[in-house]
Amino acid sequence: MSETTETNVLISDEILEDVIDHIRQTSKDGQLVEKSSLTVFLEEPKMATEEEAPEEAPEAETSAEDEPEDQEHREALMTALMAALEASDAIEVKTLTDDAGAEFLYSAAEMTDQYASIVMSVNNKNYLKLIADTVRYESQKYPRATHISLFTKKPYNLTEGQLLGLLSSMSTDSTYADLKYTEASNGEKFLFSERHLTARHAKSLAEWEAVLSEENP
Amino acid sequence: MSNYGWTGKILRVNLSNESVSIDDTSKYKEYIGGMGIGYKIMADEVPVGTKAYDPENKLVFAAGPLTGAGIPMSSRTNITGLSPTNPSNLVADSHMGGNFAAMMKFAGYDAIIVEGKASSPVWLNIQDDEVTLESANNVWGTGIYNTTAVINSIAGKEASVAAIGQAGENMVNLSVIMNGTSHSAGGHGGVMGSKNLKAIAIKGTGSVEMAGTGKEWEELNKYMLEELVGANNNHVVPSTPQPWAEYHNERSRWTAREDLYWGAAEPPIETGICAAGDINRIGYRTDKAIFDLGPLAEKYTVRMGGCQSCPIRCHSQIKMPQLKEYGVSEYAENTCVGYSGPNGVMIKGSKDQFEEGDARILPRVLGSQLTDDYGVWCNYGMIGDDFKYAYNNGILKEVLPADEYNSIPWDLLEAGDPAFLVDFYRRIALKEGEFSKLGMGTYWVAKEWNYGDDFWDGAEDGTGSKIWSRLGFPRHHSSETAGQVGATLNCMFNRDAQCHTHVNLTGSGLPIEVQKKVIADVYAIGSEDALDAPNDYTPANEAKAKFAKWSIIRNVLHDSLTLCNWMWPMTASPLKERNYIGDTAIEAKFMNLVTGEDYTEEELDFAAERIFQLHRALTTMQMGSKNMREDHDDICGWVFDKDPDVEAFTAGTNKLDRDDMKLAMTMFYKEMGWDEETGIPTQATLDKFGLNDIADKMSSMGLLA
Amino acid sequence: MEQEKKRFFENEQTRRDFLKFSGKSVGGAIVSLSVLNLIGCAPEEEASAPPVETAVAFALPQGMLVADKAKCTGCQRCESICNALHDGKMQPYTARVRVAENYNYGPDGPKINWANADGNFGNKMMNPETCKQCREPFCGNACPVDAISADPAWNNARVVDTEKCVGCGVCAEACPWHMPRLDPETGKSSKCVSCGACATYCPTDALKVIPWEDIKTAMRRYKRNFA
Repeated sequence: MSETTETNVLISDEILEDVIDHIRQTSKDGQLVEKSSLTVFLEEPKMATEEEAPEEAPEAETSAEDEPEDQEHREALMTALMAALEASDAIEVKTLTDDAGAEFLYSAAEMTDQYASIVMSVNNKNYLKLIADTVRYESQKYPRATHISLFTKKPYNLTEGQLLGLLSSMSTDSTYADLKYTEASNGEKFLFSERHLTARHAKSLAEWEAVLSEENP
Repeated sequence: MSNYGWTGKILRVNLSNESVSIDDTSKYKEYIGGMGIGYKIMADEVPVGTKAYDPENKLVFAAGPLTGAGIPMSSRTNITGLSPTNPSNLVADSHMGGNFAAMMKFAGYDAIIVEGKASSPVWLNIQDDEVTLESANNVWGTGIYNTTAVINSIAGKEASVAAIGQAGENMVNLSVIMNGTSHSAGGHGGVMGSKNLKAIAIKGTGSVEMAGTGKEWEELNKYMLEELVGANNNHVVPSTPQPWAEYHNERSRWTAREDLYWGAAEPPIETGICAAGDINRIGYRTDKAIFDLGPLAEKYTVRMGGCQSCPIRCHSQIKMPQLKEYGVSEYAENTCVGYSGPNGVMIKGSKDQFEEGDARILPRVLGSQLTDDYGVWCNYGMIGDDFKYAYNNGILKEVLPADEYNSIPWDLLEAGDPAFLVDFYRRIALKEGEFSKLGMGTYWVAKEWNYGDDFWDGAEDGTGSKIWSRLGFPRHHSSETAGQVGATLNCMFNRDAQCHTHVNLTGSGLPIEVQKKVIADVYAIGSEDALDAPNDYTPANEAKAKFAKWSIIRNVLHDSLTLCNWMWPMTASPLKERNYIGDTAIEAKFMNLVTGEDYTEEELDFAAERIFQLHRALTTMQMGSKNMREDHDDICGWVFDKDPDVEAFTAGTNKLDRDDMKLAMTMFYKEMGWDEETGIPTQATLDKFGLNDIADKMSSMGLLA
Repeated sequence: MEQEKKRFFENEQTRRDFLKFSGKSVGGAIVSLSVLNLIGCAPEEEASAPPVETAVAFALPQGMLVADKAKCTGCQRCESICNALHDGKMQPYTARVRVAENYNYGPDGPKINWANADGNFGNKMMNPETCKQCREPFCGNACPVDAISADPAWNNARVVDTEKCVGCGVCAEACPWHMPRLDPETGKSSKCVSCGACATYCPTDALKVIPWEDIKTAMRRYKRNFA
């Protein structure tokens, strides 16, 4: 059990294990953990040994009013928990902050920074910028044209209606003037950035992905 | 004394005098095994000028020291022999996975040499060291599935059986030898048929010895499975964005994801997130069913299957009750061109038959059943194109007698009804009528039916052909894959190249900058210039010639060790921590573990190059060629004439330039130590690899510069 | 020594708790989906979900061995790791977990209905065979020279002492599943020692050992969340 000498607060091994497991599993599932949501792990009154009678229901006693001492106690617990996570060899926790200032956590072993930043952009609802950044990135990096259906998949999760609406609004915004459509011969639509790809190149890459790669197994 | 890796014994079966004998493998040691043993035997024992169906032709079924040692992706049988599909009946190798190769090792044999011709149909029954020839009269004339069942009932349920169907019996050029339900080797079925050999059954209760300890075996396997192995074709990124991955690529074969199931399992089994490094989920990474057959196939997918020792499982196993309507089993299994080859025969497209979307599936799985049972090959999908050309140019109406023409169910073809395939493949396999000449393969049918130049070179705009070589085989990861690299290596065999070294990297899903770093790390290449961005090619250079060479050499090495060329080499890694760089020395590490020897990767590549030099020399001699560049390495015109509105080396086209390709070929010949004009191995090169006797032969034939 | 004893006790305790909790006497019994779910082997389901017909579970000293043949893809790598660690050579014939034998036509084939029966040529179903670690060992009881006995080095799994083994083959005959096999090269028998390596490396979790530790944790969380 870990102890902080200042506050004399205890985070049991069991609690830590459960929190680590939760962050790892949530990251594995492609989600970020909102830091404030971790209080649910800290609500058990006793954080001692595990051999208590398993038939007893957990004592979930959250008081209706927020007594100042309770508030301070909860904050101290959270601080201790964060410290314990930091110190733990079993996980490397990374933090992101959304536009509203809330903190989110993920496990570096389970989720790449790349993926986490997409999830955060979705949380922040910065869809236009996200689409543009993605398309520009793919046009430059791989390089490839981006199949528009990408944005309906995890973690983007836009509906077709939302997507079409967004794409439509992009077409009138000069910030996104470099983004263009191209189409494969089977009608599948792609986006590319003409900062990084010529129209011809983008079209040929789209054609490969949608049609030709299947003919060249 | 123990033999580590190798068993030390080669089974020689003489069908003419019905005798078997044992050869000592040790004299082939510097040829490693597999393809190496095959080519050495062809060089030593089959005279130049022999034809594929002559009794003097031999078939060498060979495995290598790593086969049966449980190395990942190692149960590959290499079959070497003269092939009837190309004009000079040049030597070629075909390959099959499954269980056969491993079982052959457990029975105690590194290879099986089949020679001569039996006086009546027989099958070979190998029960460890008891080897007999049995009458095959009760299975001759039946398909591979029935044959296998009957033979297993005699040889034992666990025996691995490699058989031919009616196509092989009838010496159809486009025929296969198959073991299991879907592991087929193309082009040599008729050779077995010409020898009256219906099948080889093997049951082995013995062992493959290894020099290293079990713990060492465990460590090396664990390292490979955790850090190096990707999905099918060693694609190292998932096909959808996933939390654990930096990159993704829609055409990656790492198709596993949430909400994608083996839908016909009870209850359905989710493929799910299969992160790199998770050994226990490697088998789910490649859901090849939806990759090959489309999204509707999800609910028909029972599971994935594949070869002994392989964790990847790249054959999809389908249960589709509608198949019974066509008189075949509702269970089908195959991968890739096993499905798309027969689909290519539906030259007027396919229509949904029972439900929306099944047009994508039915012709593929039905075609797979038919071809696997009859034992028909597709020449990497060319059979459909051969058919299409004849159909579209009115040739069939011309060459077929009216009765025969009218007996063909054209209405089914026009209606996109896959039932057409039932009739089509019967004709091909049973050699019914003039139509069945499509079974002769591209070169012969084009000759027989006088196909025009446009068949080979495509239309003026370069469309309509995928034939690579006038020897009659199609492109297989050619100019559309790494430009001059793919183009060069596609010329180098006597059939479609079957080489995936280069395409596994270009298709890996990694960004181009990462791929360049990966390829620069390979000792034999050492430069980022070896690789261009897709469809954005640059002129020929030395690094590309080295990349082409290394791609081929590794391909040959794997066919000798034996290892699966659809996965190996481990050029890239799925791990970010490794900067996505794999380990191309791991073949050598496994060789040393198993054999107790001390190979470096350079030494193994040298041994493999010896085999490839021998391949080139044999081909040169069989062709009697003084100029292989012209006679053998020529490329059909569409490769250069497509996209007529742009020049080569414009972003957006993968067309090549004739002069540049000439230069690329010259650079390649230089890397290979061949005459830079003619592409024929020089005396010095042949000597370097200890092939002096071959040099002498070539010299006496006037073929050496 | 105290640690060892404590851990053994904890394992036994968890085992008993688990068996009580799952309401099944596990030992080759078909295990329900809810139980599989609890130990992380199955998708989320109602407690009243029907049993997974293809899965069987065995209590081993180190955890639950769950064998789900629907997940077995016939790769035979389990045989290889078993050979590597216990024979030092590759010889599936003697491996103590078997897939290759039933690969083509299932355990009984080929019969006239082979196209629909188990096996790769039929309905594609694999039949991996594992040692059941019987409480009353047919093999051990039949051995005329007492060469098969519990070995503390292997968590008290029953092991063949090759010094004593005379290669008579009675163990293989007596076992209803013929799991012990005489090695034709050495003339000795061998049997599964419950090391779990086959499960450790199975590429599809068709064989999976859930450590009692994990089951304990899962039970604790289940009770906290649902009790």
